Amino acid sequence: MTSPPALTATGIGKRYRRRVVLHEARLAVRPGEVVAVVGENGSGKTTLLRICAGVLRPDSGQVVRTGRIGYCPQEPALLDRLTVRDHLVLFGRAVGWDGTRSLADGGRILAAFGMTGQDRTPVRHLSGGRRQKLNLALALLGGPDVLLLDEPYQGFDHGTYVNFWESVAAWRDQRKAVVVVTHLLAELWRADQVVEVPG
Amino acid sequence: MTGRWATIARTQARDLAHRWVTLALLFGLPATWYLAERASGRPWAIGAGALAMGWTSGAAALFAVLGSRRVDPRLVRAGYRPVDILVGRIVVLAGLALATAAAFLVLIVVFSRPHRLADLVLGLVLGGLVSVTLGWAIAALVPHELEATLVLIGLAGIAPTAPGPVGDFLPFHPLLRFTDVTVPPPAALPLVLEAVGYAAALTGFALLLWRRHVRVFH
Repeated sequence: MTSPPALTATGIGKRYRRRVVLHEARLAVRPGEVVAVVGENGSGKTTLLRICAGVLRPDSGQVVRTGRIGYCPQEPALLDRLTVRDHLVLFGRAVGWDGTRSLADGGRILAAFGMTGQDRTPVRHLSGGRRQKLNLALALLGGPDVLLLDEPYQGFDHGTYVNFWESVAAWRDQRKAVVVVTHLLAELWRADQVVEVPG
Repeated sequence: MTGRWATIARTQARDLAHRWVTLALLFGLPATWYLAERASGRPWAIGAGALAMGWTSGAAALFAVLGSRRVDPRLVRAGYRPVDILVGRIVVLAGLALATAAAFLVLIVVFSRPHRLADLVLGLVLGGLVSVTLGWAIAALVPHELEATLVLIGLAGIAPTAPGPVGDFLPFHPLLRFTDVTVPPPAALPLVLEAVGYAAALTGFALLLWRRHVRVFH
């Protein structure tokens, strides 16, 4: 039996001043499914994901979510002077975890992407790729049911990039609903469904 | 401290603790202004320094809010309530404003030996609280660094010279009135109520506006 969608967006419309960015956009993702969102630059992929995450209000349409959302924005939204540890504790507390658990789980997630020994490094001293790894780890903290990932691999080295897509497959096996905004058409075979956002 | 607001407060405090130059300027700017005016023999040196202290405290709050504007929606998405963020941040920023006020008070006592010490304490403490909430409210209303800073500069700049009926309703009025030694002592209670009312109104206004930037749409 097919599970009901963990996230459904229907009839989504969004405009910035006179420019229509999204018109009647739709997206649905079920537990154990990977959806790739593709489209040209400026086509509204990020806008659609932000609306799905609930951080942007659509002008029309509705989003129905079940379960906890893990949202990884395209630009790492981090606090430059705080360390990796500080971020893990801060975001772990958001899901009700104490510092010990946040650091342990966060450390495991980061290690899976090849980032170790950086706990006490301020974010502003991290490379772009490492900032992105932390950005992704914060979205994964707390074991969300739905992952909304906006080009989360930017700046990753080749090994981490491969790790990332292997992780996507693992999350699918864990029955997570995964939405990945991507412009890498070579990776679309990894998705169960491709949603194109027309420009 | 176990509440989520406490985690925000700790985070804000750690962020500020890394900003040595900012912390130095918070005290250094009003101290320099006060000492310069005093060296020139100006009778309003204390009031000028107090106003500068209000401005720096407000600017610290303004930049703390604007510096976090990309992170805050994500924190709310992750599970914080906007009020957790507001309370945690205001606790730290108000504490910093009070610490600055205390250091500035010591400086004034050492150099000017003021007669109306109680007024001075009230002016600096209440002025610090109003400044923090004012900085937050401006940041929520004008979420761009340059424009927000100019608004704060404008409000501080106009405060000492605005004509009575207007000046009495500006946010820095209680601070200026309590610390101005060139005019007779004020009746304390109305000014205290004005400052507390101002701080409460600005906090409510800031929360209302700022929630629009950080809320999660269900």
